[in-house]
Amino acid sequence: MARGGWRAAGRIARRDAARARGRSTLVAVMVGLPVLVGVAMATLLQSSVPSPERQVQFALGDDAQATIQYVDGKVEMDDQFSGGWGASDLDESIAPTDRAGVVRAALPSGDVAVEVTQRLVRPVADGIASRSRLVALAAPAEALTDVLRGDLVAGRLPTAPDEVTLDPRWTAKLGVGVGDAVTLQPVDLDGEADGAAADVHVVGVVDPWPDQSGVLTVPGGLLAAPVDAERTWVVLGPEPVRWDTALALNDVGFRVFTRWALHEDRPASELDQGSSAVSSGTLTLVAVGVAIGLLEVVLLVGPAFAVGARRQQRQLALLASVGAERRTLRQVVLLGGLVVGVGASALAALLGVGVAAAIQAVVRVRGSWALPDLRVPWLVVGAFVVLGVLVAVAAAWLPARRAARLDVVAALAGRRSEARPRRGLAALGVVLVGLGLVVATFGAVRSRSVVTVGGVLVVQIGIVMASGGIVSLVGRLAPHLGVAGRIAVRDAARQRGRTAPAVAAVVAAVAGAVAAGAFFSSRDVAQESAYVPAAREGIVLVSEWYRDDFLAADPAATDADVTTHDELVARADELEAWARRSFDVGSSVRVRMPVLPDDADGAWLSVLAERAPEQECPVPPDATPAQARALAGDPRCAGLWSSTTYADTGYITPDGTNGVFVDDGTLVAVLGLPGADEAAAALAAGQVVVTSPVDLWPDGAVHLAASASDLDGKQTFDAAVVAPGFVAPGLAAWHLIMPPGVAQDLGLRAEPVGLVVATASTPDQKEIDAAQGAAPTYAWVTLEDGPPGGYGIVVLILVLGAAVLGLAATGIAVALSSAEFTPDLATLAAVGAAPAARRRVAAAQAGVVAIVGTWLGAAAGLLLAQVLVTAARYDDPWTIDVALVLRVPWGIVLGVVVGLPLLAMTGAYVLTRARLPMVRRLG
Amino acid sequence: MSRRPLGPVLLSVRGVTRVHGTGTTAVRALDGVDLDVRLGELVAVMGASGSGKSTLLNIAGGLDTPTSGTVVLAGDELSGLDVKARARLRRRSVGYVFQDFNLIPALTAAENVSLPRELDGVRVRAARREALAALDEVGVADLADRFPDELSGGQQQRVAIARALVGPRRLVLADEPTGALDSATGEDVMRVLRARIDAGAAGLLVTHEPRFAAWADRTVFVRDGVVVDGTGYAAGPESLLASGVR
Repeated sequence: MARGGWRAAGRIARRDAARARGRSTLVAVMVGLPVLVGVAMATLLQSSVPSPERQVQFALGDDAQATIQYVDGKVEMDDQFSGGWGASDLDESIAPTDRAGVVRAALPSGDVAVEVTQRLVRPVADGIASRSRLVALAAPAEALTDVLRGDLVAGRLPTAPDEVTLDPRWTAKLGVGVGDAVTLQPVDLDGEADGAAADVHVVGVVDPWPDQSGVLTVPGGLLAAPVDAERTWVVLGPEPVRWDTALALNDVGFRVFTRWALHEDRPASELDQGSSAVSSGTLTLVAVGVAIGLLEVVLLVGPAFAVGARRQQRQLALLASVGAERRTLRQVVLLGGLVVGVGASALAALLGVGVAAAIQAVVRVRGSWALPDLRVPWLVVGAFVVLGVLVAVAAAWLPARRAARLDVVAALAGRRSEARPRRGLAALGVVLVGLGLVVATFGAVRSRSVVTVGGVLVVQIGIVMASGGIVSLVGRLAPHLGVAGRIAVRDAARQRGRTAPAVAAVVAAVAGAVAAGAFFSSRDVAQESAYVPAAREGIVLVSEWYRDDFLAADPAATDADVTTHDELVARADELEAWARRSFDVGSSVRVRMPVLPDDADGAWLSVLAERAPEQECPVPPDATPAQARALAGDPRCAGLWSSTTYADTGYITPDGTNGVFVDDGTLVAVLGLPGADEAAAALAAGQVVVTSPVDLWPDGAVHLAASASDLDGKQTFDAAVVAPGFVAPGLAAWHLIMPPGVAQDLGLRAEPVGLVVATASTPDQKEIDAAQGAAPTYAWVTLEDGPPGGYGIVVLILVLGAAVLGLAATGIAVALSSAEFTPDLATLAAVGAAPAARRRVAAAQAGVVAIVGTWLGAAAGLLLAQVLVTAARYDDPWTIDVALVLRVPWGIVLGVVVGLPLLAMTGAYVLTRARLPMVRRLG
Repeated sequence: MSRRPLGPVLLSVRGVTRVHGTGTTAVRALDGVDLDVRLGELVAVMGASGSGKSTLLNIAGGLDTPTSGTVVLAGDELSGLDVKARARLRRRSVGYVFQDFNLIPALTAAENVSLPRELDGVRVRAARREALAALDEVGVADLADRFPDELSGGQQQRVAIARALVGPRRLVLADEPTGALDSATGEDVMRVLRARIDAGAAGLLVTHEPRFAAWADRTVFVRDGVVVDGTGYAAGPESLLASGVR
């Protein structure tokens, strides 16, 4: 029986899927969409990693057998194609002059090694060396073609030492082309000039392959590499560099990248392959997140199968009448899920690969190597297909179980069997909602995201389980409603098998949208309240890019040697001239900061407002996270474990001091911040402006301490001054502003480090970008344009998505109930109902599903949002983000709970035919 | 006309009572019904709406279970069988024919007929062979690969009769099989059913209409769940034609 049953069930399921095209398509889209997106993303991710063949092409071009580099360590390669390697100490290093000999002796006969030297250079424009360094490669002119690792897009390769090719990005940046001259400044690894700058001619433009250099030249001349410069040998010739050769070179300190790796597995490596950077916590979080997503899809697809199963009721009853067992009935519905799931997932996977292929092709055509080749991770694609099928089958599971419990006699007679209320299930659902909330809140407060998300999942399942019970509760409202409403409410409550899945789908869609909407709105409000403006909106701040020197990942890219008074003033003059050219300047004020006196040059200055003992944060040095948290919100401890970003104007001195300014009131007056005028007056009167009352001593004074130490930690400067203070919270971004007299008392110079420009008309971002483009290379231009944009668009998209899904679920439920409702409508007609009654009943049916679903969903969404906000509030175990509290976006919530039901009811009213059916046969 | 001798009893209903609901809402659909159907015999059941005819049919085929009493079908006592065994019985011993041409729209005529056999584990080809033979016996073998919506009402009902008697099945339970047909087509369907019974099956026919009941060997009348009367063996309408009566 078993096989015959599956076969027959499969045939019916297949044909049904083909016959009910609309429903099948709806399910297919719901199941297929996540598969499509997942497959496309996985394929793009895989494609972003070059294939072994492509890696060989990038590194070796078409002909080279290998590249060899001296790394002064016994090399151990890993056994992947990632190029990972490690090195241990060598017994004896090879002298730079002997290295070429060792390489050449190791190579197979017939092969030659072309020596490529490498040098770091900075292009120089307008007398200022660029911040970025380039790797310039030099190889004999006759071998340059074999060394070239990119596309020659213009000109030719160099033939003389004073000729170079440049990367197209640099020709654009420097505004040069083939035939022009450029100056290249050789630099050492620390970024310091290493030899004289060289004037060279650009003879070609080479668009380099990923991780390759586009700057090529011929050895000798001004760019001649020093003896100990890094060298690479490119092996050319007929013989491959096999593993034995590579391993022998590895042993004496050379790293080898050989084409042979494509032909033969590399020898086993003892090198630690390194573990995945993704923590198990993150993985669990992702897994639970995916589980929630899948649950939502199952909830949304489920009603479509429930509809199918209800429509199939008579057919299933007929099957039972010819001897089908319950199992077979279940199989018919389940196989329906399988058929659509397999079809949709397979098609979606193909489309996903197609989308990825199209994106890859477009990216390649646009000249980027971000996606070198289309690489399809077939295993992952297969996993996504299986996942899609599982989702479809899972969605069909409950309808299938219900179908198996079908009352055959009632279905054959065309009677509607009425669901028995299962109070147990609803009660369990309510218990799960409570339990899930407790678990989620516990996880949120204890900063355990996995527990939080797990709790959220339980809440969702609980709501779904309880939705049937809630629908039957709503049924009790029937006596208080009009005819259409009463029929709809009673019908929904009695036919919960069809109502509950639709309600659950609406709940799932609305809860997700409301939760995300409320969470993002709360974040927006918190961010806005935490935002500290540097000036009124529309003010342009121009700082010098010493700041980047200290923030840059590459510490070599510094320009900190501009420190003298004359140099700093010259820059300020240049900036002012540029500002006048770039903007319609209303007023422009130099920003001055304290700088160490000349004799303490090269040290790091720190200027602090020392606090009175009672204003110190009362936290013990070995505080536990709980103790620290208890002090969250205490102004004395602000910034100690702050989870908000440090408010900063962006100004910094050559020695790295920030957040301390020298002003006689002129600068502050221009800023236009709240309390700025009073602060300007205080500065003019010789008072020190601080931004928090905790910096003020009981007598109203500010105790300033300045100190500096050199790189060895030796103190080179120490001074202290007590001056009358003034608190201006509105200037929080400026932290500490002292009048020139106090700076002088501390023994510090006040030097210009940038400008504040008040323009006659507020510039837009385009003008700012244009000004930045025209600015001196050391200038950094920002526009004070208020708090960063919020998540408005994200929320809007979520709400629209929820609306579409909610309407779809409601539509399904109404379509189904109206199909089942025909005999009752005929009766209504027979007792004299007007034709519009049918529409009113349909609208009321839509209203029941949409109102119960959206209200329940909104309530669930707000609960979830509270959990999410709590989780974010307690994200850092050391502090609490006090600014982050739940802000209910009432506009969105009202729009959902009022607008969506209205839309659903109107849609049902308009789309339902007004004619009442005739009674064909009674009894 | 002399009547063929009837075969052994295939369906035996003894003291069957069926009560729907409980307490004050309890309805006695059948009340102590006794009935035998023999091989080669077509028994018509007549009665008003709600008299219990369809309940009797449902209980006879194992779709419904009696509150009390026994039903023995092909030697099996139905109350002693579980849900699965009753499903097996419906696959092997009994077939239903309903008023609404109970064919599964997603399956062709042949597939509809072979369905009980396939569900019983018979291989697709063998089941199709049996189905074609059954369709041939009811005269619609040429429509085997059509879907139900491509068949007329009479053709659909012939297919349903073929399905009811495919393979080893010997008992047809027909609930108003002519109810949705015009009278000529109805007569045609009854002729087919009668022929299949004469070929060695047994049938229980629920009908409102005396002219269709006339095709039966005997008729029982049900009122309020009780068999109130039973006719003797009628000669059948074809005997009238044969004897030349006008």
